[in-house]
Formats: sequence, structure tokens, C-alpha cells
Amino acid sequence: MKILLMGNPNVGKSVIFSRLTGVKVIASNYPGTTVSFTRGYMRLGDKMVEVIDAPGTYTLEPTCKAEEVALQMLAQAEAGDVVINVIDATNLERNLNLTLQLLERHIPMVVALNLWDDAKHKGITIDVEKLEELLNVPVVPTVAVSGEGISTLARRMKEARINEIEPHTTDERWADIGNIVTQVQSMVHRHHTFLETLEDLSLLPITGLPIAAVVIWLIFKIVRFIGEGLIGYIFDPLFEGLYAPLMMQLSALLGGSGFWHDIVIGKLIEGEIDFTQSFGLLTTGLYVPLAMVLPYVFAFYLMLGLLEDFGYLPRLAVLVDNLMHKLGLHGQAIVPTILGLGCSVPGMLSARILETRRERFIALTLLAVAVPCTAQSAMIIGLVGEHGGKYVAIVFGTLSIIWVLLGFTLNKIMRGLSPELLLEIPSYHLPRIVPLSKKLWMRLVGFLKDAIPFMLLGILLMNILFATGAIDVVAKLLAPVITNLMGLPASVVVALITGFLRKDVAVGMLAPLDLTAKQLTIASTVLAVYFPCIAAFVVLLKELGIKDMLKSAAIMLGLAVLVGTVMNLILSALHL
Amino acid sequence: MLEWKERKDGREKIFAFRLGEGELKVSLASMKAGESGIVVEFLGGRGFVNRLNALGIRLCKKITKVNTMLMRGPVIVDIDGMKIAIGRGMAQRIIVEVVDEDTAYG
Repeated sequence: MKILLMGNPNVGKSVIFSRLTGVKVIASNYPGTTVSFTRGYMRLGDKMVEVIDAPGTYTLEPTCKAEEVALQMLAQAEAGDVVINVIDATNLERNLNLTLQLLERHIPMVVALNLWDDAKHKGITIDVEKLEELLNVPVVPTVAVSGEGISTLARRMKEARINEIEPHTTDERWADIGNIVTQVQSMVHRHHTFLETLEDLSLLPITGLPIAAVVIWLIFKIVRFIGEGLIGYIFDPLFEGLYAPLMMQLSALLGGSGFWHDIVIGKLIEGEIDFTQSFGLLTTGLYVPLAMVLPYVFAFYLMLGLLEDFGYLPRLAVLVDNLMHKLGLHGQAIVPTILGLGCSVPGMLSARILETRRERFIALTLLAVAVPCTAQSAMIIGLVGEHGGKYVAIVFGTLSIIWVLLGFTLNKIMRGLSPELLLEIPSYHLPRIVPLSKKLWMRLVGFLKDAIPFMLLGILLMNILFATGAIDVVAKLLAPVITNLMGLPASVVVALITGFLRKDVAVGMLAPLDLTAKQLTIASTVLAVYFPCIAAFVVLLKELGIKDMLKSAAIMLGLAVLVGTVMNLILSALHL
Repeated sequence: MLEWKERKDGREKIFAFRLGEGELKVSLASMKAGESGIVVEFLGGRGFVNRLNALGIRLCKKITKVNTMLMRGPVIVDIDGMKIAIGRGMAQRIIVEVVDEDTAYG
């Protein structure tokens, strides 16, 4: 027996799933947070049963890849399986459309009438008993975020039943829905609350665009403030004051130099450990992910979580719709882009909310080429920033220009049109501390689990490449491109190779190479453009298929050479 | 009596017409912000209609245009208290019969 959670987008399926199974999943306040399915288990009587959280869908006729996933889950349902149909109590009519379609499939069902508190606040009353009688399946009011009604829902799972209704035509179904809604729902009109006024203001062009500008500016400011603050006041003092003396003792114990010393501690710079340049497993290998990247990852995901839970992202999508159309996308593609600024993997997965292959190709290629993840950005800010803010600005400025120009070009040369935006805009909700911190925690743990092993692997690989001399062979091979066109020393190859593993460690590897500010700027930009890291590559391959992946990869490599060369010419001409 | 009415909407001129006792049929794109009306026609195929239906935009529903984004951006409407953003090209294919505020809808 399986339990399948189905419902419209953004009705709280993932929160209910978490409540039932204890499995943590990312939940947010915008349609399309869940694009894949998650499995978990819950206790039902004396058995453990599987629970599946499916992406939201408005109907049983899919319009995008995420909805197809939901329908596949439903198609795989076997005898004895149960569907929990989660519906939004504040929008009964539209949600019942899916409910009736599900009932026509003759699968035992229970209805969770979620967002029950919101409905009350909006002056909507629903006669639950009457609704249960009309649908002929159990109906349980729930407030998933606070846990209200969840135990009743679990208790009533065994009452799940099939309503023997005949397949209806669309018109018959809407007529039925109309009947049900008039019988069970009553509404009282109320005045606008403060949040609702804010909702309107952030959608009006005159106030919305300035609000968006302020929100984005504030986020950059706050992320930098938190990131720099954590590094300057906590992580740097800890590493320099407590950890460095410990490592110096270990270094002395290992004899101060030699193969093993260099792998564990790295090269001593003027007799001291330099956490950014020594490149040993226990020095740079821990310093980069923990003290240079983690603070920014924490700051970014804290702010992203606030924006997601508040419900701001769909409004941003509306505001940037025009711009995104020029790039062959529509406004909703801003969501994968913003998630990609955190990490490419969730960013690329969330591109499933886009309707066509063409859009997904453009969105994924843009993500891989011109949207650096937080780990990479943190390293660029940390290392390139030492030479002055203008070099950091050049890196991010160049990436933004590439993003616009590449999107514009792909839109011109690829056949087909970009579909139009059709997006439900959720109400604002004040974020709740507990779910917000859970989500932040999950993302931080996820980052550390990925970052530290790959970081250590990267450093190990680099040491081996240097020790065996393999790096010289590759460097000679690529020297014409890297040295003649981009004006970089051939040793940069080591960063390009490790960049396949992780971008943050790769940027870090530029530190000991004694590059000039200009070279560091060019190398950081080329590193961002030339190829995604292995984790993102796997997702890209899975989402695009091998043929489109090869096309996308050709664009990346071609652009990397072009961008490196053009930057070299321009920056040299400007004597930077 | 057939009365043609011209409305300026950004760069394009849209002709709306009034039939007999004052129903004014316009596309969602050429409605004014704040105007309400009843959805009377979808100019598109089944897929188009189904996508709109699924979001609650159906024939005979009351719809209120909240506003349009600048430069031919998406149209934002309110239907059953839900806000939905609709791309401009789609909005041009949704025909609404505008109701005067004082007569309301029935």
C-alpha cells in the first residue's frame, strides 16, 4: 500500500508530507517548489506505509514536466493505494476540479482541506460535513504549517474510499463543482489587511519596480553583511587563532615538507600556513568550505528562504516577464535563476516548471554559463576582492552581459516561440521561524555534504597532478588557447581541471598561482563559464538528454574561449 | 444599434463595440485597470481553454483587471479573490463583457 499526495500547486502538499512522515522536504510559498517526488514512510496502525509527495498539478492533463511527474505517480498507483487530495480551502472551486477528476479515477481517497486558518481569515466558511457528504470521501480540515488536523487526517486514512462516480465531460464537472460550492461555502466581505495592501503595491508597475529594486539591493547588502561578518568575527579568528597553531604542530610532526606533509598540510608560505595558498587537505581543504563559503551560503539561503516563504518570487516573475521574453523565456524562469544563484542543481531541477523543451534548453544553458552559485561567488568575492571591488564588479558584470546576450542570441536562432506567462500569484504569508530554520538547516547540511568530500578530492587530485607531472602535459596542450588568447599562465589548467569537481575549490586554486589582478579576473570569469561542476553536469544531462547536452556543452566551451579572449583584449586596452 | 468605440491601449488601438443595451465586449488586454466584467469567449484551442479553466478562468466568471505591467507586460487579474498573471498575448484572446460599476453583475 502507498499513499500519494496530490493537489494543485502551492496548497501545502510538501508541508503535509513532512508532518506525516517526518521526512524533511523543501516547502515554499510559490507554485512549483516541488518538481520531483519524495518518498517517506508513516505509521498507519501497526504497519509502515510509503508516502509519496508529488509535484502540484491543476488538472490531470499535464502542461509541463513537473506535472507529468505527478501524473506518472498517479498512473503507477496499484490496488490498495490511497490518494490524499490536498486542497486549498481559500480557493475551493478551482481545487475541486482536480478533486473530481481524481474521484473519476476510482482510487480510494481522503481530502485534506488545507490552509483552513487562511480561509477563516479571508472570511470564508466551509461546511465540512456537507462537503464530506457530497464528495462521499472523508474531508479533514488541516493547517499543515502548525500541524493542526494532521493527526485526524492520519487517523481517518483507513476510512479512505472510492466514490463510484462516472467520468464526466468538462462542462458537467464544472456544473457539479458549482453545485457543491454553493451548498458548502459562504463568504463575508472584509477589509484589506496590511499584507494585502502590500500585495497590491508590489504588483503595480509604479510601486512594484522600485520595491523589486529595493528588495534585490537589500538582499545583496544583507548577504554581504552577514557573510563578511561571520568570516571576520567568527571563522577567521577561529581558524587563525585556534586551528593554525594546531596545524603548525602537526606540520612540525610531519617534518615540515615532503609528499605526505604537502598533501595533509600543504606548502608552507614563509614558514607559516596560509589557509588560502597552502592547499593541504586539513588546511585549505577545510578553510575554503567552512570559513570562506559556508558564511555566504548561510546568508544567501536565509534570505532566499524569507523571500520564498513570504511569497515574493512569483511577483518578481511578473515584473521581469518582459525582459525574460527577450531571452526566449518568460517571467517564471526567474525562479530557476535565483535558485541557481544558490546552487545550480536545485536551479536546474526547478526549470521543470517551464513548458517547452526550447525554454528548458535556454534556461539550463544560461544557468550553466552565466549564473555562478553562492560557493563560487563567495570565492570570487574573497579572492578577486583582495585586488579591489572593481575587479569583482568586472566578473559579475561580464557574467550578466553574457546572460543577456546569450539568451537573446539563443532566442533569435532557435526555432519556436516562447510561451506566455500564466501564473497564480499566492497571498503573502509572514514566514514562520520553525519551518524557515528547518529549510535553512537542510540546505546547509546539503551544502556541507557535497562540498567537503569534493573539496578534499579536488585538493588530492591537484596534489597528485602536480606530483606526477601530469599537469605539465595538459598545460602544454592547452597553452595556445590559455596563454596566447586569454593571456593566462598555463598553470591555470589545474583550476580548470578541478573545476569539473567543484567551482569553489577551482577558484581557490588560482590563489597560489601569483596571478595579476587582470589575470585573476579573466580566469575567474572563464571558470564560471566553461563548464558546470560534476553535480550540475549530471542534472543537465538528465534534464536535456545527451544530444542537447552536447549542444549546450559546445556553447559553454566556445563561449569560454571567446569570453577569455575578449576580456583579455579589453582589459589590456584599458590597462587594468 | 452598433456603436464603435476606440480605446488607446499603449501603442495599439483597440476597437470595442457596444451592442444594443450597453454590453461592451473587449479583450482582457484592452480593459482598463480596475474594470470588471464577465468572461464571454476564449479565442483559442482546447489546450488554451483547459489551461485557463484549470486556473479558475472560465466562461461566465466575474473577472477584475488589477493592472498591466509596463511595456506590454503581463495582465494581472483577480478572479474569486485569487490573483493570476496572464501573458499579454493570452490576455488578448480572452474576451470579457465589461459591466458598469453601478449595474454590477447578476
